Amino acid sequence: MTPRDDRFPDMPPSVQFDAAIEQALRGDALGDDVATFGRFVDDVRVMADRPPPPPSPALAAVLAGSVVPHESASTAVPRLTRTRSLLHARLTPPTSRRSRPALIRLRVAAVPIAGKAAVLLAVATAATAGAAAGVLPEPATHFVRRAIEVVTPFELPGDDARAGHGAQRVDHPSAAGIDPDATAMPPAASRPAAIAADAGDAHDPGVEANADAQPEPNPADDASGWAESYPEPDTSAWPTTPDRPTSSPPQSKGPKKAAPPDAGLPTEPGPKTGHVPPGHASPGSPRPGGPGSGGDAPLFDPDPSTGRVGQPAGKRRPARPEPSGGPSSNPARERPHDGPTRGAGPGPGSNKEAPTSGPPPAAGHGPSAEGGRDHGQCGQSRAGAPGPSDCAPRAPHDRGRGPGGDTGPAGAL
Amino acid sequence: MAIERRDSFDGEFDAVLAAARTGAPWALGRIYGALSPAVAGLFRAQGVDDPDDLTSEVFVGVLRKLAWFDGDGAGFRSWVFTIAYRRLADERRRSARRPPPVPLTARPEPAAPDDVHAEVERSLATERVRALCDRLAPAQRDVLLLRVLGDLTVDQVAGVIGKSRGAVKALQRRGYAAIALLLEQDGVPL
Repeated sequence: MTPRDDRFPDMPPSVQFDAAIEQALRGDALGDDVATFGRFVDDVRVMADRPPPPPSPALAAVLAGSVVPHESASTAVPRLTRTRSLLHARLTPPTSRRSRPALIRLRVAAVPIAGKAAVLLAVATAATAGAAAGVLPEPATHFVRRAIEVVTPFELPGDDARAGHGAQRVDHPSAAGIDPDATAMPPAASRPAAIAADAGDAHDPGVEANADAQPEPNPADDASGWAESYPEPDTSAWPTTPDRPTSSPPQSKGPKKAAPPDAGLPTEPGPKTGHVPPGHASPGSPRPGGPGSGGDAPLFDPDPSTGRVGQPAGKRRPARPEPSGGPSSNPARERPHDGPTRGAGPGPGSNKEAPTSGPPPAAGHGPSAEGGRDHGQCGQSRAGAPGPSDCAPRAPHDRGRGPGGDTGPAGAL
Repeated sequence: MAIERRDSFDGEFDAVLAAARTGAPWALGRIYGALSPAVAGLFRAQGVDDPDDLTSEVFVGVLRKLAWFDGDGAGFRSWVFTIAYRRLADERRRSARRPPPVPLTARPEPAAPDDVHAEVERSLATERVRALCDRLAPAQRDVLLLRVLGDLTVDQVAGVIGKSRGAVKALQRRGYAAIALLLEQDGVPL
């Protein structure tokens, strides 16, 4: 189909056309080639050669001079209000019929969907960034974290992880702003037997027995198999403190499990340097990860006492509150150096003397060798009668804790 | 028959414009009488339903905005046709949205013209022009009518319809060729 304007394949030269058109428009004498177009031009002009049409009433008012012919004197044609964006509309005064909330709603409604989406995205991004940076208030951070965890498969570091992180930072003497040298030497009363043996009396039978003691599986502990796979390390190669007294009061050496949580010196470095979940260690308790106490802490806590190998430390549930009453409410935390007698029997109390003068406990069992595991699980020390408080039931996640609920330096094993 | 084109204001455009700006009725009437027939003819040739009313609407706008104009007579003519062309575009859009008007069954008998021969000739010329313009492309029709009725130059037409000078020239040539071909095919004597 030929287009409407392409019906003329042979177009004459444009100069010829332009000259003919101008000649016809001027009304000059036309030749035969442009006579038809000339007649068309004359016919158009005859059509327009009429008297002026009768004006409309509005125009008649203007022509009569009764209305000032200016822009402000609008008579017939009302000026259309310019449609501006509602976003740029001025706020109406309070006397306006439209209330301010209604105007705000109109403005919000006038925002396109893309703009609303952009605003929401910006707010979400800012909230996420703020929550991640921790600059938001705690309720807001918690809300954002929950929202992100609900709508996304990601999990932000929660309160427990943050608390654990804080505990880890406090554990590290250098990180806590504490001079490691000043805190490296705990009081002699709380010094573990193994370190004491390394320092001065390496031939102490009690120490050797403790050092060579293997963690015995507890029937109630499902981590016994793990304990077999991870024997207790040789303590002879561990770092020692040079000026460690060898003859300490029995009651101060014995309860390794009762070492103060804030002793500052990791007394039993070992491979189990996992992250201590919150509630399992007091902020000041040393980490069993060596002198650095957690500097090389692995991501997963292979603590056999926990019975949950490979679980991220940050995922552990917080410790359940300790049962109140009795010495099991963390006597070590309260009386770290006094050598608390945790029982009438020779269990924990007798082990206090094991490193230096007392006989070694049976297979290292007891708090001196295994820390709080015995007491943390069933409270029945096979080496002796358990203290009355050690029989308190504990939650499974508290199994790695000492009698006082803390993972003591010796109990970390 | 060649119609002599004459100056609409007889060389008194500046005085007429100054008086019209002050609201002098004689100046306003002179402006209206000089340009309204061409504007009404443009609307009539374009097929507007009520060209007289649209012409009045155009001149209401023209007279209200006289203070904004600055130029000579040719420029004023071009300015008026620019307003008329935009009003025409508005009318086309408006008529596209509305149903076509239905004429009254009992139309009043028009008064007998003073010059019956001239009136008949104008009516026949209007029919022929409309018959030809309806077969032209809209752009070609606009250019030719503006050039003939408005007596505008190519540059002025380009400014009115918003096209380049070359485009206006091309449309003018094609319109000229189309009219010549249509007249030859139909054999309509003009």
